[in-house]
Amino acid sequence: MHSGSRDEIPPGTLQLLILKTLLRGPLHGYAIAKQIQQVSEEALRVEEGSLYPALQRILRKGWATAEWVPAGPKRRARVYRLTPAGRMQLVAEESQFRRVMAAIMRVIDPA
Amino acid sequence: MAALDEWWRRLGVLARRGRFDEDLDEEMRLHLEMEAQEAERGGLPRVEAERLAHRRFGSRLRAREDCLDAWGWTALDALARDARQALRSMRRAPASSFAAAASLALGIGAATALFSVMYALLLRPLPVERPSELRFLTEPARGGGVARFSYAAFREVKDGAPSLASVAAVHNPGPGIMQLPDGTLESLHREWAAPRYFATLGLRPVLGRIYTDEEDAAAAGVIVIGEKLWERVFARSPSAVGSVLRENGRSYTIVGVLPAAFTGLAPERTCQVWFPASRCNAKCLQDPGCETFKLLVRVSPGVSEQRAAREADAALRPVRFEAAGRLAQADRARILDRSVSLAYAGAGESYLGRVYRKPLFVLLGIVGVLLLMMCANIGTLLLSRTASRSRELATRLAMGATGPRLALQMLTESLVLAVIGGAAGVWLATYMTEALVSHFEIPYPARPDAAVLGLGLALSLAAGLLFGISPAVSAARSSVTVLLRGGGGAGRAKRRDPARLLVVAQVALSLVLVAAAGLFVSSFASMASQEAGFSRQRLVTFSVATPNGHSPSADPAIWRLLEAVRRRADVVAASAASPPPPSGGPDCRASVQGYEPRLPEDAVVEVTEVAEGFFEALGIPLRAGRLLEERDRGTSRAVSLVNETFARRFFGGRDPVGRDVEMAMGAGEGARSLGKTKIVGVVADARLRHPGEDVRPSIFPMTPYMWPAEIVVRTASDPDSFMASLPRFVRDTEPGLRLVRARTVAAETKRLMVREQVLAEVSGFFALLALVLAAVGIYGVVAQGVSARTREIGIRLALGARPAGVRRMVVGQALGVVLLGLALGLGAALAAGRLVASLLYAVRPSDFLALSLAAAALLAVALAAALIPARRAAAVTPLEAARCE
Repeated sequence: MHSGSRDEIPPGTLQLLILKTLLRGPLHGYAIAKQIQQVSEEALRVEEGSLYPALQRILRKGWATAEWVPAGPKRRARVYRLTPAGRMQLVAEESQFRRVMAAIMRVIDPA
Repeated sequence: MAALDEWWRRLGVLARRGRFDEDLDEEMRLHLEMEAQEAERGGLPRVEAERLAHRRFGSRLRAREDCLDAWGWTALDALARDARQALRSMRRAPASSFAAAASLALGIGAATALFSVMYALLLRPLPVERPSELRFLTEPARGGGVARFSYAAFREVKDGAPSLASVAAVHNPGPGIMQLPDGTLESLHREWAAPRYFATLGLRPVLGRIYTDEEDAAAAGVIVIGEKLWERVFARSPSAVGSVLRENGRSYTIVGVLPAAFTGLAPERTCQVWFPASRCNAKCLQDPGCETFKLLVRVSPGVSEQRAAREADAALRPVRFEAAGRLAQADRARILDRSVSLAYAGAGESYLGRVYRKPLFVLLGIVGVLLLMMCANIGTLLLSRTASRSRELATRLAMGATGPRLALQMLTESLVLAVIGGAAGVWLATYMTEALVSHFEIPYPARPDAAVLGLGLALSLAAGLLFGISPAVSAARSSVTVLLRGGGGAGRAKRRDPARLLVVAQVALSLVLVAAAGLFVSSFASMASQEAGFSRQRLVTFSVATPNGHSPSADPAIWRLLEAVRRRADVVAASAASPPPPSGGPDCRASVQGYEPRLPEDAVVEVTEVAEGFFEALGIPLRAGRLLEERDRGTSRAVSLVNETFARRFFGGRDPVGRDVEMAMGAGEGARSLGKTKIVGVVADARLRHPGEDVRPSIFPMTPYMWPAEIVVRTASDPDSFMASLPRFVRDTEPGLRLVRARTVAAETKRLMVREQVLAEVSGFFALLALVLAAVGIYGVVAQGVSARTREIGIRLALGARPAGVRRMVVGQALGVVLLGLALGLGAALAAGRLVASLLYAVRPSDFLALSLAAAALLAVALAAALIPARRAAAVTPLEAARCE
């Protein structure tokens, strides 16, 4: 387990990351956080306290649905699944993010 | 429809609020477990792993709040929590909460009841098409409500003012006796209206049709009835169309039925029969001086009201010229100077509304003041409760609540109290309205209205905010240390203590209410005790008609009936009069040889036709000449009696007996002569009409042909049993006649004074309430002060102060507050008195007696209220004092 300093996720992008993660398939909350950590090669740390509010917001907007799934004896986990509307939102947010990033890069690294 | 789906999801979360928290907890618990397991797998011991997981997660409570926030329901959630808290704290202090809610319910109930009467009479829109666009054509110079126009004027305006999309003429002559198909006679309200009246209002018949212009022009006997009458008399049978109603000997065929919601332009007259305009007699329809009809108009879209008024003015000019030409030179300018304007007609036109308008506003103002007092009272109560909750507030502050958050919580408590009190008040209002209406016999069309309920709700919320402000503000300013030190109650009562200010305000407002009530009560009393000049006790008047609705005047059957009444054992005296008291007779112009009136008004007298025995029956003494006798009835020459005022005005000091009087109706060329009459006697002045009116010069002729008369009877004993026996008596004695209506003069006269009575009784009731509130307020503040200073008082007593001295000190400080309130209230009372001066009778608004009595009453009540806690203060034992704090 890496314990190198992890950067905080810039505000507003957590939603994008969650949606992208769910693209691969339905996951529960802890798994989403772990996935983001792993895929970013431990560079990004998900604040648990902000994960669940973000998930609730995604549910509110209808970009994902949630259902309870048994996860072992006497336990169950809430699993989130991307909806078609969520897929469209992901596309939109992703392209917006790329645009903004490109613009920032142009300012930082004018070549 | 994404937004709709989102709302749906949000509502779902709200509905399953409880599950929401549980589910979230479960989810986050699982997360923590898995986190801890991972840490364990990484080598940490179990306990360490768990602690690490918890630390990583952060505040779960915070997370939960944020999750709820994500759904946008945080505000509502907080409100619900505050409301539950409010109910809990109210349960902890049941007595004072109940008192506060009850007093609020009373105040809001009274205000709502008054407003609903006002709404029905003045504001409720007519159940017609687009009522807000309706206007009356009126001439403000004429005063006294909406102006009336001649039929000729109606025709001119109809054709000559293109910016008026529709013009209608309508007349409300009051109730008339009609004979139903089964023969019974009934008094029904009617309107006479040209056919386009119904089109202007957008009314469509539910059965049959409306009469046409041709039928109106031909003066055909056709009518339209209302749905309620159709239900009652015809049981909604379609055969109603074609049935006949008779009035005054003529038959009228029903051609249509109007919807139930519409009952004419005046809310208090439930009109059920509509005649064509030609019901008015033919001469009146041609005469431009015969002004009968109100003109209801709609302005064409896109046209300004001023332009429409100007066009109507221009159209009316030829009619005005003709009418003015018939008058004496002096009066012509009066007519020619008139100009037309448009008045709002969406709420119809109510005579009762005009009469009650000012008193209702005054009463509404009084109730408003009372509500303010109640809010002040409740505010004081809540303030003292806040002081005793200092520990609870301190705990909340320590747990992270902010000042504004506490203030919001206090405000929510006030609002919850207000809504409970307000709901109870609106419910009470329905009963209060009924009581108000039945006690004062107002013909109020009782219907619950959304506007009224809305007002009730708005009032309660406003009240809640008003009395919730001071506890909220004091809570917002609180700090933990001050609270824990018990700073809410101990120590000297601050000079600027908000509670004391509220009491000063209450005393001042109370004085205004008590003084106003005093003015209205003495006004009513002096009006009721006016010398009438005759006795109203056991005096009954009744009217009769033939079965086909005809009101006979010269019919010998009436005289036979009068003889039969006189022969009854329970009758002291009987006569006939047209009209009988307390109605007033019409105005006529009298001219006497040798008297030149200085102003045209000086020649105006009141005419009341009487039969022999009238003055004996009423108990009015004769002053000169002789009274009327039966033999006078047959003579072709009319003889009359006059009252002292008439004799003084027209004859100075000379003897009027034997002189002739010429009578005419109207003036100038259009005057209609009523012939000559000879004076045979002079009777004492009497107030036959309204008790508050001055006596006018009156003449009492005995003509061979009396206008429809009523029989006037002085009964030997109880008038009610006499009236009960009348229907059968009339039918047995004279089979050709039926009783139409019987009433006592006393009751009718009382009805004339109903406005003053309403003001006196209602304001008196509110004044009593105000006194009680003021007393409660003063008691509360003084008691609070005493309990706060228990320690100080105990020390004083221990050091040798006398109990009487302590009492004096407590009462003295209360007195300071009260006197300040009285001083402020005096100014307000004088100002308020000037506003209502027009409603007072024989009483000046600055009546010294009324004001000083009011102030004295308030002072006495205040002293009594302050005395109770003062006595308790004087009885404080040193042990109590030491135990305190």
